[in-house]
Amino acid sequence: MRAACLPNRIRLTSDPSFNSGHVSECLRCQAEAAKYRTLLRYLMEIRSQLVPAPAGLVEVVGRGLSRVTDVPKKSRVREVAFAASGVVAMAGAVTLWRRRVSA
Amino acid sequence: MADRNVEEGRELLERAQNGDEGAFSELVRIHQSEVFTLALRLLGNYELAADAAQETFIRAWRALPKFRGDAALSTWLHRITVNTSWTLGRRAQRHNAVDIDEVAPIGDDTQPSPEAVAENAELQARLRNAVTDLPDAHRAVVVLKDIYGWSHAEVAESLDISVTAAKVRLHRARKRLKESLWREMV
Repeated sequence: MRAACLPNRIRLTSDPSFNSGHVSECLRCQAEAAKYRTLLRYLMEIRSQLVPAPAGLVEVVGRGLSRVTDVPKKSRVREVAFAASGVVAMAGAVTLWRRRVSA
Repeated sequence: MADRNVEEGRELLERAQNGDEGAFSELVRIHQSEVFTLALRLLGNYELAADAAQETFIRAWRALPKFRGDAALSTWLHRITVNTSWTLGRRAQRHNAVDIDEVAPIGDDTQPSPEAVAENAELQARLRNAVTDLPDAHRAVVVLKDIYGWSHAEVAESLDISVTAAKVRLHRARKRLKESLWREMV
């Protein structure tokens, strides 16, 4: 590789379509650019090549969802318990107030 | 036909957002390979990728009511997959759970198009293996930028690094891939 090739090679790695005066005249740099273009094209093609998901993933996720939906139910039970304890406290307070009034 | 699919997808999404588990399971069925493939490419480990895919869908289910549809569902799922993969990957590294022998070559079960096979099947296979063999940090950048088309800024944000660092990693990764692809040919 000639010294003049070096800065162009660095640019070509980032941008294979980069074309300077040097690249248009240097066959080695053009070959390098072609390799990077091929590399990027193959990498883009990889995206469409899907690997089949493991068998049973949908079912496993489905079981997981049931556990997630349990959480709000539990919190609703907690809310009901909290409200009930509030009602009991209120009733107690009213009872105490009545006793004081009657006394 | 495409419009009908889009319409059905929208309907499924709406039902899932209203808590319909059956509709969400159908969405999982549609997107499972896409999510699993991305996780596998990022993590390079079959078991870990399966866990990441599962966790991704659970997280998606939890976050689904907040999904406003600004981006496509698949794009949204990709982001969750990437975040989940990083979390599981870091956890696995901490616990040394990744067995090197278990690392599966990426894309073993894939079926490239006949044109691609004719063009250069050997190069394709070598590239998939070369991507798998990249160090984790380099593989992440190549997968997100060159395979999934994310911008440098998006890659940097996802990896919590600067844009310059993302570009440097990509530069090194591409150079390494090119060298491993053409080493025997030069």
